[in-house]
Amino acid sequence: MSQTSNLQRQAKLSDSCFSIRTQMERLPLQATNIDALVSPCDKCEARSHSACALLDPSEQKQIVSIMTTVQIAPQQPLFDEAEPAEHVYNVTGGALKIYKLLPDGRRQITGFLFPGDFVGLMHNDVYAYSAEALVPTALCRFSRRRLEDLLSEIPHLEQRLLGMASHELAAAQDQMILLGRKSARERVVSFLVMLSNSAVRRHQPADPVSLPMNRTDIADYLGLTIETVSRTFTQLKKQGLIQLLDDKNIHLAKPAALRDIATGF
Amino acid sequence: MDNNLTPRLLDHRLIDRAYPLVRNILPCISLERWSEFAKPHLAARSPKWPRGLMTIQNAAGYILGLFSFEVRDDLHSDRTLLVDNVIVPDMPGHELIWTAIVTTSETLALMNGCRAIRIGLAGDLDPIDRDRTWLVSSLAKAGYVIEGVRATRRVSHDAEGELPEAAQSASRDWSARGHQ
Repeated sequence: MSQTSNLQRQAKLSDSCFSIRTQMERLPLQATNIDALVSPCDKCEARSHSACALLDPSEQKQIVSIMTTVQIAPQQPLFDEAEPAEHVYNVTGGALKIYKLLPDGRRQITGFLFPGDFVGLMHNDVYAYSAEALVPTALCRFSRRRLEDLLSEIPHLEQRLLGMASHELAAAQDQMILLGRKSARERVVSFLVMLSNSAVRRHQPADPVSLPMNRTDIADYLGLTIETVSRTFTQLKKQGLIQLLDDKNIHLAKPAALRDIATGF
Repeated sequence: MDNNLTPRLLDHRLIDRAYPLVRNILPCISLERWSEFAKPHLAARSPKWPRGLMTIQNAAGYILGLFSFEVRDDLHSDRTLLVDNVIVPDMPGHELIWTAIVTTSETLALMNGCRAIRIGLAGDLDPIDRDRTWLVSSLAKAGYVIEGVRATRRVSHDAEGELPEAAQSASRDWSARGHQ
């Protein structure tokens, strides 16, 4: 992808996530609490399904005071495993892959994160995983120490964060379930169903399923070869279960049948 | 969203699922080693002296905390609930997971007629760690006192022939009784 194209996509992402002015122009001022307009959170598309959803305007202001926004281009690392874990992040746009380095130098993708997901799980003050952008990705960045201080002042935020915080952990646990499935077909179908469910949780349509990751990433995540993944997609297509709209979007033609396969029927 | 934490016993179906949490705290542990550790804890045992692995799960069923427990007779404190191998990930809200572990231990002790609870903390949960002052205060709030000493020495198996005579004698005696 050309650098110009990347920059255009980043600019578009920036527009959609952080343009407070546009938000103010769109809202009828007389019906709006002015306090609620001072924050970039008001325009955030991930807010309704992120840890921030329950915050009132004053709490939101407190959060914004310790937050900076970050944008990263595709294939750029957010952080590397074993790097000092000074920040935690909330994904507000785009998608990330998280992975661990294996002792033999290979890397194992353990999950994919989407808007609303929290990232920055650490152990012994260093990040437990590496995180890399799959597409232009926007995040809110918080100093870990300052966030911990703030959590003691906003207890329900702590409760909410706990419910959502460790998406890396949740993604890795989902992966263990997927790897427990016997056949490549079951793993691939379970993966598509999981992405569809995840889109619904983010108030996105269940179909078509968007695949921001490439086939190599899918194969790595599912513990399969890239050839097996491609062959399985082709088989599912021939059976009329899915339709490959393009490289990044798949139509679930028979969702009920796919869910049966995913659950082992 | 319901953010309540629920304690649930680990069963065979959850062993693999708990692995990423364990690996987060012990990065070098393999899935096989974790399974090898977990399975005996799930095996049936005398109902009078139960043991097991307890998980702390969020509303979505993800495992956020874990510990092993065992009811033991103890010369100092009689029937005692031992809580060990505590796994709590380092993430915002971890104090709530810790609180759930303490509360669940209390329930287990009451259910099993224990007269004391002994929680063992090691490694990065060590309350002596200056970053863990919250851990000491939360234990104190729950009525715990730090007592006794637990010392650890790594044992090398590279030079068994060089064991002191007393240790070699004990080892021969152990083998003679049919132990490996």
